Amino acid sequence: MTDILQCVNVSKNYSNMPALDSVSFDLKEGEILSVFGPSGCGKTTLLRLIAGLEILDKGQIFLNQTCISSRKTHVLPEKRNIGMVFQDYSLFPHLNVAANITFGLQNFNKNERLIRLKEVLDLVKLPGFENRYPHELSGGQQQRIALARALAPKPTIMLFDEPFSNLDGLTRSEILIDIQKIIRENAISTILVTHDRQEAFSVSHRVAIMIQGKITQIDNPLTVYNVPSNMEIAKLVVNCEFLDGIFQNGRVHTLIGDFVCKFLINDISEKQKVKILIRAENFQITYDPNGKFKITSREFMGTHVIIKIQSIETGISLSVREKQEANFNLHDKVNLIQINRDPFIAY
Amino acid sequence: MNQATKAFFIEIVKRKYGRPPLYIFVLLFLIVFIMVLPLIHLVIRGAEASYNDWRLLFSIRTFEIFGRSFLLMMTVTFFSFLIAMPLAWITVRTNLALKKIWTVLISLPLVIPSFVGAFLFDSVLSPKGLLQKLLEILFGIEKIPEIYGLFGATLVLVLLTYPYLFLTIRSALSNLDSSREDIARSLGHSFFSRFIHVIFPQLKPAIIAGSLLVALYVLSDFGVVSLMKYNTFTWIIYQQYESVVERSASAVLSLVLVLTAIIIITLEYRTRGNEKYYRVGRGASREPRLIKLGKWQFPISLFVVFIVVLALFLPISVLVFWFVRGISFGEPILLLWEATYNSIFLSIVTAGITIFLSFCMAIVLVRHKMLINKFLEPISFTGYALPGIVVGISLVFFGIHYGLFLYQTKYLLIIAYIILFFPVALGTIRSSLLQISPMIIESGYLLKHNYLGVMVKIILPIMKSGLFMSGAMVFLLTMKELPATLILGPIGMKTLSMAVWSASSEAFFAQAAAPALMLIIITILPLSILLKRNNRFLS
Repeated sequence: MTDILQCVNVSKNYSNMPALDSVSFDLKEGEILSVFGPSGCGKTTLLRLIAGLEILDKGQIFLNQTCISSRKTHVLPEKRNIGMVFQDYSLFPHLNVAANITFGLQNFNKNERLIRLKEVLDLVKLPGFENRYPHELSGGQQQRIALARALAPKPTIMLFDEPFSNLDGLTRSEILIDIQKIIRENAISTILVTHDRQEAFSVSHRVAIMIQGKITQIDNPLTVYNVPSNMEIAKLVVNCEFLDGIFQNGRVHTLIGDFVCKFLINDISEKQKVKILIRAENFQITYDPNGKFKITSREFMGTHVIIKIQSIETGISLSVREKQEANFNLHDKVNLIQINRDPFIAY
Repeated sequence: MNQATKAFFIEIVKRKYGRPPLYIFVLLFLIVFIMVLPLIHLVIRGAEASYNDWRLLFSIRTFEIFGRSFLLMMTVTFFSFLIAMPLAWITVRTNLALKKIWTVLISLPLVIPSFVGAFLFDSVLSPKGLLQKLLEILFGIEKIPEIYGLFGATLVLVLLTYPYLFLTIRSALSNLDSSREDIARSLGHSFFSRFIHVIFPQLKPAIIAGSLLVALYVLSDFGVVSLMKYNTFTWIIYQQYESVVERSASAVLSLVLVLTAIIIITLEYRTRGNEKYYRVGRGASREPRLIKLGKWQFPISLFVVFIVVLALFLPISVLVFWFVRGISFGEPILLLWEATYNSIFLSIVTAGITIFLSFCMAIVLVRHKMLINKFLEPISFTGYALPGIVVGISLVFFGIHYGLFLYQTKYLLIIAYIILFFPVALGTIRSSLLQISPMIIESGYLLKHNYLGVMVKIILPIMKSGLFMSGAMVFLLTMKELPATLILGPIGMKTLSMAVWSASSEAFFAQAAAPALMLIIITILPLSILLKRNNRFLS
């Protein structure tokens, strides 16, 4: 597969504050890439630079091997053929659905326009909506029309800027599945910017983690989830806790036991202090009147329960994921059991 | 939910949708009574009018007057738009140098009352005016073309009214969500195409609203058309009123004038339509990227300077010129203080009463869903369609026939002001009341405060700035009002606007300068508050 989009050392400052700091990545043809990070990390700026709505300070952007942005060149957004979908849909309120969708089809003749209009309306599952006005549509429908409008001119790539954050839970998961299907089936190269973890990990081929204007990890969702390359990313992508430990004789000694670890720091020496990434699903608990831990809270999550325990001796707290029907009460004494023997990640 | 709490909730629902207390009804009755006076007068006069008077309605003369008024209205609105639209665009979307200062200077002609602007331009451009004298000294030119008529009236009115359109377009433009333009760009639309297909349609409501302001200003203007000798409705009505003989004819013409205004307002209301222009999203709206003017910086600055010089610096410097000349010729200043006091007194009293009454009306319109609201709402806004001259004449009629104790007093004049400016105050107060969540008010009731308590302790403090703004607006408008003041001002009492008028209509420009300058200085303060607090105050 060839790269359809390449960003090379792209930087952008806003009044001397770096919004993007030397960002490099590429997008393969037909690939869906999620850019995930906290609000204000520069995700939207990246999208706007790719679309040409902002001018970069350093670096280059290539679309189909042609440079579209650099210090010297700036292809105007209207010449790039890049589709965009925004969080607020941004439908034109004075135009009906048909006029909104055909807005980007200036080079089509009347007949072609009608054909394409019908095609994309079928694609987003809203046939027959041609004469409605945006204010007559629900949020989910508006978002589908916005997608249809962006898809109509057959863009080289599609950019989504937090497209689902204004939708309620049910509509959101429904439209998420539909849109994923549309872009996968039509092999549309896509960049999806989001601050929703589930969104980022569920739909894309690769996830790029962005923190403070930098892409700190870019890999397939499974790897990013299982092996986050630093603690900051780990905090962002998994529900986890960190446990202090000391490296000795090939194992890490902590207040709750000794563990085998995989280290994500360059070199490790004897007696070095490290932090172990602990997930709620790493441990189970068993009831024991003489147990070393007591239960401090119990939170029902639907499919499972999250139980917080505290070590009676040392005061250390941990969360443990248990089955829905697990029958534990507040203040029960328990013991901790490690579920599988895979090495822990340590930093 | 037990019985007691249930009853309590029902009580709250009743308060929200039910009837307000009796004293509010008394006030409502008073407001409606005042508001309908001019309409009743027109109806009575119309009924009294003879066959000949009614024939006047369909006469060629009426048609001519209507045609002239309409023509003036169209030309002024058109040219104001032609000036205001680019200025709004330049000050919002480009990197013009000193943008903030230019924005203020562009809006500032608002403080010049139409009759002051008219006499200043008259004193410069009249056949023996300052321009001619200057040209005579420089080139020996003894005669310049007359400006009186459509040309002069249009010129002066455009320079006085374009700020209304400028401010409404500007505020709409700066509130536009730029993401729609971004989408249009990504769909391959050029700058020109985006302007026509995306920006302009979104600005349309603001442009129409601003044009309505300008059109109504022109229709009810008295100062400019009389000094520029262009016979429109207001000027003819005033002449007929003065001549006493033709008073029922003046009522017939008033009726046509008011109907024209009502038709314009209705048309504007219709065009608003169903389209929703608000932002749907919750995300932060991005500031649009400013267009770099580059080599255009200089010519565009030149255009802005040209307008500001013509509309602001020229009139003000001419005013200062006449003022200095008046002082050096020993014009008496004494009279000025009395007129200043009268103007300020009238304006403050009017502002206070108008705020109070429109607040009560706003509470009823917003908080109580009653059947009579359908009737209260149009009544409240009749003032928009009533030119000052019509209100003045009708109150004289009522004063003479039914209220001699009020006739020739300040109170009747204040009532006229209230009728004229009530809708303006109500507009602002209502929109700031709409911003208060009903939940806040309901929690006031839940915490056991009664109607008056909630009003005084919750609603009023939250609305303070809205009330203050509408007060400033009414103050400003009252200070600048001329025709109703001329007709209703008690004998022996002079206000600043009357002082300016009586001197300038006799072409004693030096005598008119001092009160005119005073008037502008006093109105600058409330205007600057308004512009600073919220530049949407006109929309």
